[in-house]
Amino acid sequence: MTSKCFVHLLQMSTWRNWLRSLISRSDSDKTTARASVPSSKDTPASANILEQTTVDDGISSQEFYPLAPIKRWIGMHISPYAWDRAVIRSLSSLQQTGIPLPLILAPKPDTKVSGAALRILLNSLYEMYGMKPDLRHIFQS
Amino acid sequence: MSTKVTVAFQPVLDKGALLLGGEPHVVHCHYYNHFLQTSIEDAEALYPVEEVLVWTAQEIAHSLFQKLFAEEGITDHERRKALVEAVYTRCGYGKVSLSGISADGGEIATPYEHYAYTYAATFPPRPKGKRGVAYFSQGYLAGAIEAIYDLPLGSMGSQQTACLTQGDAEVRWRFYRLPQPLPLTPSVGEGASQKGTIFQPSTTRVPMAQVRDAVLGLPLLPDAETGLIEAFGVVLTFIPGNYYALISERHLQRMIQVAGEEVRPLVLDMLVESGHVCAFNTLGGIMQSAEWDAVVGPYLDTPEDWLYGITAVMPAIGWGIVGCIEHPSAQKWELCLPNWYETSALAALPPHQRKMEYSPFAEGLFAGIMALVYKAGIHERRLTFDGHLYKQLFQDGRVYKASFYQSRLRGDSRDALTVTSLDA
Repeated sequence: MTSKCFVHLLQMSTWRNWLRSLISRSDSDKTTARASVPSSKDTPASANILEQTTVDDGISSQEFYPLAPIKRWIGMHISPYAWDRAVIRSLSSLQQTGIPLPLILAPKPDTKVSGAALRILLNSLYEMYGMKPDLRHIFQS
Repeated sequence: MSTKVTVAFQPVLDKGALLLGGEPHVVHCHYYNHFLQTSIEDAEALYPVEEVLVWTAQEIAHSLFQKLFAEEGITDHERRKALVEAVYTRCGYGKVSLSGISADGGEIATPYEHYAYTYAATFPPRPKGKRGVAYFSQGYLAGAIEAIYDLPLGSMGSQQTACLTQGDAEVRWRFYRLPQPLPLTPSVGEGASQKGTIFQPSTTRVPMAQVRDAVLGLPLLPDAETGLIEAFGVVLTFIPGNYYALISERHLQRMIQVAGEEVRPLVLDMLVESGHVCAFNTLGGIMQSAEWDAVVGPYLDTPEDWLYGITAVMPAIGWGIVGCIEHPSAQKWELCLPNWYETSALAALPPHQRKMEYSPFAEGLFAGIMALVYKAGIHERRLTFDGHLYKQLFQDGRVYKASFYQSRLRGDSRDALTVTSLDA
C-alpha cells in the first residue's frame, strides 16, 4: 500500500486523528492519557479486558458510586460521546441495575450504581478507548 | 469481447438527485461513513448489527444492478461482472475483481476498499479479533452477485474473512449460496421523491444554479490505482442515499426493540452528531477548497452568502434541494428541504414500519454549518479542522441547535427546520 492516496491519508491522520476519540482505542494513547491503565502493556483490547480490569481497578463490588462525576471526567478527558457509547455497549447489563436509562445518560448528583455495574460500564469504555478514569483521582478532586 | 464500461450518474436537477440504476446516490466523506457505522456497531452486543449494515447494502445493490442490467440490456455474466466492477470503482468504493465468482459464490479480495482503507490509514488499530469494517461492500457485492446470476434477493450469504484493520494485507469476503433466502426487501429506489426548483434569494449575489452546475461538473473521480476518491481533504464515496437512511432507521428500530422507547434520544443524539461530523469535515473542506474559492468566492460578500453558497452545493451531491425560508442571521436560519434524501427514502415506507420522525442527520448538519460560519468564522479565516476546533463548535462551546417543525415523516407535506442559537 504505497500509493499516493495512502501517503496522503497518513498525512491527514496526523492532523485529523482527533477523531480517534470517536472511533476506537489505540495502544499509543496509553502513554499519554491521564488515566489508570492495566499494567500488562499492549495487550489487544478485547482479549483480556475482564481479566485485566478486575485485578486492581479500585472498584469494590460492595460499594455504590456516584455516576455524575465519572461521566463528567469521561466527557472532559476522553470524548463527550464516550459515555453514550459505553452505555450503548453495556446496555443489557446496565438495564439489570434497575436504574432508568435517562438517569444513566444524565445522572443526578445522587445517582449511584453498584461497583459491579460500574465495572461493566468502565470495561466497555476501556475496550473502546484503551483508557478509563482513575476513580481515586475523581473522588479526591 | 470488450469489457470496457462507462458509468455515469444521471443528475435530476428538479430533485437535487444523482441517479444510477434507479438509486439516488449521495456524496459523503469517510469521517461521516465511519462515524455512522461505528455508532451502529456499538450496539453489537444488543442485536446482530450485520443484519442492518450488510443486509441493507445487499437489498439496494440487488435492485440497483437488476435495473442497471435491464437499462443497458446486458445479459452476459462476464459483461455484468465488468459493469459491477466499474460501478464499484466509479462510486469510490475501491477496486474489486469478480473473476473468481460463480452462481455458487466464491471469494473477492482487494487491497483497496473505502471503509477498510480509510480506517486503517486514519484511525488507530481496532482490537484484535474484531470483524472487519467492510460491511457495506460485503452486502453490496452479495446483492450484485445475485443480480448478475438472476438469483433471488437474499439467496447469497456472505462473510468478511480478512481486513486491513486486522493487519491483513487485503480485504477479503466469501460468498456462498444459502439454502433459505434471507428476509430481505427490494430497495425503495427514488422512494417518495419530490420535485422542487433551485432557490435564488434576492438577498445574495451567489448564483445558486450556477454553483450547483459547477459542482456537478467537478471531476470527482476515483484514483486509477486505488479506486478511492480524494477531494477537499477527505475521501469521498457515492453511496446510495437509501443505505444511509435505512441503516439509521433500522438501527433505531432494533434499539427500541431491545431496549424500549427510552433509548430513542440516545440513538438520535448520535445521528445528530453524525451531521456535525459531516458539516465539519465534508462541508468545511468544500468551503475551504480551491474550487469553492473559484466558483463561489467572487460572490461572498457576507457571512450569510456562505450559507447560501453551501446550500447550492447540496443538490449537486445528491442530497436534495435546500431552500432558505427567510434571510438567515447569526441567531436563526429557517430552511425547507424538498426531496431531502433521507426523508424521501423513509417516507416511502408505510408509517407503521418506521420509527424515525425526521432527519436527525439534517439537524446536526445545518447546525454544524451555522457553527462553522458564525462561531468559527470560516468566512474570515482559514480554519484547521482539528479536535480543538471540533470541541469548540460542538461540545463545550456548542451554540446551535436545529429542530424540524414540519416533517414528511410525521405526515406534513414538506420538511422544514429552524436552526437557532442557544445563546439567543
